[in-house]
Order: sequence, then C-alpha cells, then structure tokens
Amino acid sequence: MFNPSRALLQIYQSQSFLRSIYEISTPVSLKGNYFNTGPIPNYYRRKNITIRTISSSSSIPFKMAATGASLAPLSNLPPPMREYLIHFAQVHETFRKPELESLAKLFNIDYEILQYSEKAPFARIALKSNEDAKTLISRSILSKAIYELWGTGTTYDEVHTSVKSRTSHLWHLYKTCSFKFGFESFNGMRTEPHKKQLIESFSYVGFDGPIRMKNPDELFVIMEDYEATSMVDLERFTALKIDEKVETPSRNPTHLDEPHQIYFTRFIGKSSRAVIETYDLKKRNYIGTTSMDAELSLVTANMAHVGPGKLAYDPFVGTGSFAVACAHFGAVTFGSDIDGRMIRGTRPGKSLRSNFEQYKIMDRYGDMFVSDLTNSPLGRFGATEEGGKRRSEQIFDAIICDPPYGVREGLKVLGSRDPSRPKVPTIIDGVAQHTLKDFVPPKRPYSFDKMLNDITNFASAHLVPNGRLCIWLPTADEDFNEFSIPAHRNLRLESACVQNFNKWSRRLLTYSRYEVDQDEPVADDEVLPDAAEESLDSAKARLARTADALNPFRRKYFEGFKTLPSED
Amino acid sequence: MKLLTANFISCAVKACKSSSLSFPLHFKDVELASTSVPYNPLLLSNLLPRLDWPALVTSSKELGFTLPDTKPELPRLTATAAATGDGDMNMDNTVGEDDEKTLKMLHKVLMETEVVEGKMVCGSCGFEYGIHQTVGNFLLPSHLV
Repeated sequence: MFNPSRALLQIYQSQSFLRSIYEISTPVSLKGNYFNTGPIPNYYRRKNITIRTISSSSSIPFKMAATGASLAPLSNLPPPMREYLIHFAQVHETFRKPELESLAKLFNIDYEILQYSEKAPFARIALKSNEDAKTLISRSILSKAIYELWGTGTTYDEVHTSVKSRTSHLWHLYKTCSFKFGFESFNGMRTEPHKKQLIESFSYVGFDGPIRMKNPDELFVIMEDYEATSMVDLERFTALKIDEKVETPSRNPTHLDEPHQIYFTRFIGKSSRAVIETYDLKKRNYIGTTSMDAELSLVTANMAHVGPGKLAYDPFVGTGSFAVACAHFGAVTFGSDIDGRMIRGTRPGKSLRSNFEQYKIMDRYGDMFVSDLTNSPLGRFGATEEGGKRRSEQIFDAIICDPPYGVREGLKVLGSRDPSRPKVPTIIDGVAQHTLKDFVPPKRPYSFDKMLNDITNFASAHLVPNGRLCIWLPTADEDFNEFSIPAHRNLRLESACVQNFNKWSRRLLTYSRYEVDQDEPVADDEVLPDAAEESLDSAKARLARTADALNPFRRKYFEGFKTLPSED
Repeated sequence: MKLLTANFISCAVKACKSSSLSFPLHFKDVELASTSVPYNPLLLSNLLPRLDWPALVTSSKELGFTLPDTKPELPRLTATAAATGDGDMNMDNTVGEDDEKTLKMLHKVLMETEVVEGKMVCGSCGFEYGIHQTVGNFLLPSHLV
C-alpha cells in the first residue's frame, strides 16, 4: 500500500534532494569544496583559466561559479597537482606575481594560480609536489612562505568541514611528530585567549605528539583575511553574521570585524625574504645617493634569472646594488660606470669591491671597469667555435640596470659638446692631454631615448640565447598613455611592473633574448635608428640641445610634474 | 682586471672593432695579485664555451701562464634547481681526475689572478688603457669618440 509519508521521507533522504537543499543554503563560492569530486580538467586547459580573484571583486560568488568553481579538495585535484597557499608580504604588490612567475620559469615548475589579489597577502596556487613548492618559494623576496592548504572557508564551521573532507586521510601521518600551531591575521586582530580557543577547535585532527614552540617537526597555521573594501563585501559580512548567530555560538555576533576568508595550512617552505636584512643599505659598507634598496635589487635579480654559474652585467653599476644582489644568488657579476670614482670610492676601504668583501661573495666578483655604453670595450673580434672569423659577443646571461635618469646631473656620454671641434688630440706644452694620469675625458649631454635604444641594442648583441635584460625606467604619470615600452626585434618583453610614487612612477621591464635573431619588423615606430646610421646633420642638431630638451623626464621632474588643464 | 674579463673586451674605439688586431688587448707594465676564492666548476663549465681560447693563451702568456694550445673539452655541468636559494652551488655531476686538473688550472688563471696596476694596449691603434686598483679605464678622449 502506498504510504505518502514514507515516500516523502525517501525523497527527503535521497542524495539529489539533499544536494539541492545544500545548494540553496551554501554560498555559491563554496560549492566546489563539497561537490566537485570528479577529475578537474582545468589544469590541462590552462589557456581557459586565468586568475580567479575573489577578494577584491564586487561580484565574488558569481564570478567563481562562472569559471567552473573548481576549488577542489586536495584529494581530488588531478593526480600531479596539489593546492598550496602562498603568504606574500603586503608590499610592492605589482611585483609579487611577476616575481613568482619568473621563478617558476627559472626552476621549470608547472603551476596554476587559483586565487590572487593585490589587496591580500594570501594566494592559492596549484603545484605538483612539496618539492616544487619549496623550490619555487626558496628564492622569493616578496613572499614569506608557502603552505599546504588543508581547508578554507568564510567561517570556522566551513573551514572545519573543508579540513575534514579534504585531509582526514592525512591526519595519521602527523599523529606522533612534534608540532606547533601558528596564527596569522591580515587587517584584523584576535586576543590571545580567542586565538587559543580557535586553535583548540581543530583538536579533532588528533595530533598526539609534543607541542614545541621552537623547531617543531610540523607547523600548522590558521590564517585570517579581514580585508573588506567594497560595499558588497560588507553586505556579505552582514549576511554571514546572521547565520553565525545560529551556527557558531562560540563567535561573537556583535563583533563587526570578522575575517571574510579563513585558511588552515601546513608549513612547507620559507622564502628568501630574510635576506633583505642582510643586504640592508644601512649596514652596507659603501653606498651612494642613488643606490637601489636591497629588496628591489634582489627582486630584480630574480626577474633576471641570475643563478650559480651564470654571468651578469650592470652597465650603470654605480655603487653596485644590483651587482651584490646578483652575486647573492650565485652569479659572477660584472659592472661598469662612466664615473670611476663611484666604483673605486673616494675614501680608503670604501669601494664597490669592499661590499663584495663585506658579504663574503668575492668568488662572484667578476670585474668592474670604467666605460661608457656608447663606446664600450665589451665585444671582440676573434675565432669562434666554428673556426671562422666573426665577432663572438654573446657573453652574459643577464644584463640588469637602473639607467641614470639624469635628474641629479644631466645624462652624459663621452664626446665634446662642440660637434664642430676637429678630431685631433688636445696638446698643451707638447703633451697629449689624454695621456696624463689625471685626464678627465670631456662628456656631452645625451638623450634618454637614445640611451634606451643603446641598451636594447647592447643587450641584443651581448646576451646569450634566452638571457634576460632588466631595465628600470622612470615615467611622469601624465605621460602614461604615451609611454612606449622600448622594443627590440631580438628581445621579448616578459613583464612590466610599475612602482607608483606621488606624481611619477617607475617601471621594471624584463625581456628575454630570442634564441636566434629575428627579422626586422616591416614597420616599427618603436625602434629608433641606430646611432651610427644617423647623418651628421641630425647628430649636430642633437648635440646643440640642452640636457632638459634631451630628457623630458628630467624637465618634468624640475617642473614638479605640473599637469596642463585638460580640455574638458 | 681579470684574464676572464680581458677575454671579453677589445679596443673601445669604434674604428678598431672591425680589426682583428684590437683583440685581445695586450698587457703592459702589470702588477699582479692572486686572490684565493672558492673553486666553482659549474661556473668554469659554463664559461668555457664563451671563451676565445687563442686570445686567452696570448693574454695568459703575457702574464706568465702557459695554457695548452687547444681548448680543453669538458663535460657540461648543470646546477640542481633545489639548492639555489642562497646562491650556493650543488652539483649533480662529478668530473674525472684529468678534467678536475684542467678546471683547477682555469680557476687559477681566470678567477684568482688579477691585474692590480698596469696598462692594456690596442694592437690596432696603439691606445693605452690604464688599470688602477684593479679597475680598468676605457673612457676615450673626444678625438677618438
């Protein structure tokens, strides 16, 4: 006999009904955690998946749904890929992802960024193994550490459900080892008793080993992200808090500052961020007025893929900030500067070389010399491997530089200011002046654009195949639209990071050299004519101009970056 | 100025770049120093293909070192990825006894020997570049620019 109530009970208990109930009551953004149990093909369709930003966008949950919501449990990631959490430093945000991508390429590590926002320090990434995770993060300057992601959610209840469903099969591995629990909060605070209470809420993992505050075998960290930037976020918080009253009585519903994302993680590997302290300019033996700070010098070295056994060169070496950063990562470093006093120093014991001695990296000191990029001694005429006679110039794995902006003193290269001056040695009292020991060669003003052209040409000639060029460039913000990134047919632009200041910004451009020379593009406005090909007339016209006329950035710097009133 | 660097540079005067006489520059009135630095076989293995061997033999002779007439053949070494966090080397490969001897010789000539004071002379135009406190000066007077 048909029993309606029993039939109804069967329906209520069926998987599909429970699932539909769950779908209604669960935020869309989290569904993947519970129901996405099949293989995730997204990792093999990289071009379709970019970066899923969840914390800075206003339409968060729906965006997630649109991209397939593949926040898969650890156990359900396709076999080689596992999920990790990177804890970034909340500085130089625009450089963080390019640095990570550069290191992944350097170490040849497969990865996919699952979630990243410049507003938060926590990013989710899929990698093949703990070894890959350790290697990837080992050289990073802008991140702090990498963790295995055990669970995540917008409330602690969600985190617990996530941890239980994803990692219960792993708990026995950590049953007897010594361990420690850590707590990280971004943009928020917890009292110590509250932290303890939250840590204890994870006791179901059943770790019986000793708790060690120093050098534990395993470190587990709870991370909370309190970032709240948009109205939608705030509304979402409010909505969540109503639920919390019912679901999590342990939390204080009247507390307005609750994290909007919580992660439970296991520590895997540490970054090189501590190295910044070692190379701190304040503790460096010899510095100058334009020395690049340790942090960005080290980041630049990472972008340039320097490493053990490689050769790096800085054509504007100054006091050697990039040189020591490259040497730190193992490269033998060369440098030159038009001003020999910068290299040798003016006081005894204070020289570029003394910094290499201070850091005990003299085995990576290549050579420093005085020269001008427009008349460089680098390059040679000689026998090649093939035995034929041709110029063999591909020497460096990396060329990195922060060219002089010409703000402090106008940009200069070798040569006389007066182009009509006859090309003969200057002889006074029968002595050729340039043969005197204290002879200072005359210099003339030079255009910044010309110099960029010289740098890219130089890099094309002297980088080994796949070698990298990193250039720092200043721009007045108003010029942003007309700012053109220097291009060269043999150089592929890898990344362009921007560091913003008040009225101006500077960019770190990274290029890699193609394996073989590329054909000259048919029409390319970016490429300036080679210096040697210019007619004497235009060269004269160039020389007649002042340092300001040749360097628009310098002019704008001294004009205080005034903006002209706009048309509308 | 190291012999390594001398192998990468020629006369800075543009007109000399097309002359085989401008490379290598010839050492004159040199004062040498030897600095002991850790031996780095990976570096040497990477350097070898980039060296112009006949030029290195010539420069070495000027400083009193004798090198074999032909470039030694060495197995190519590679760094392991995992151990590069602090820039220290860690190698997969090991080299044989003869190769090791060659590498040690190259290490001494290329990395440990420096010209502290002296001159480098272009065989084409005769211009003399000074070396002072190991730093070579390649700036040119305006009549040569």
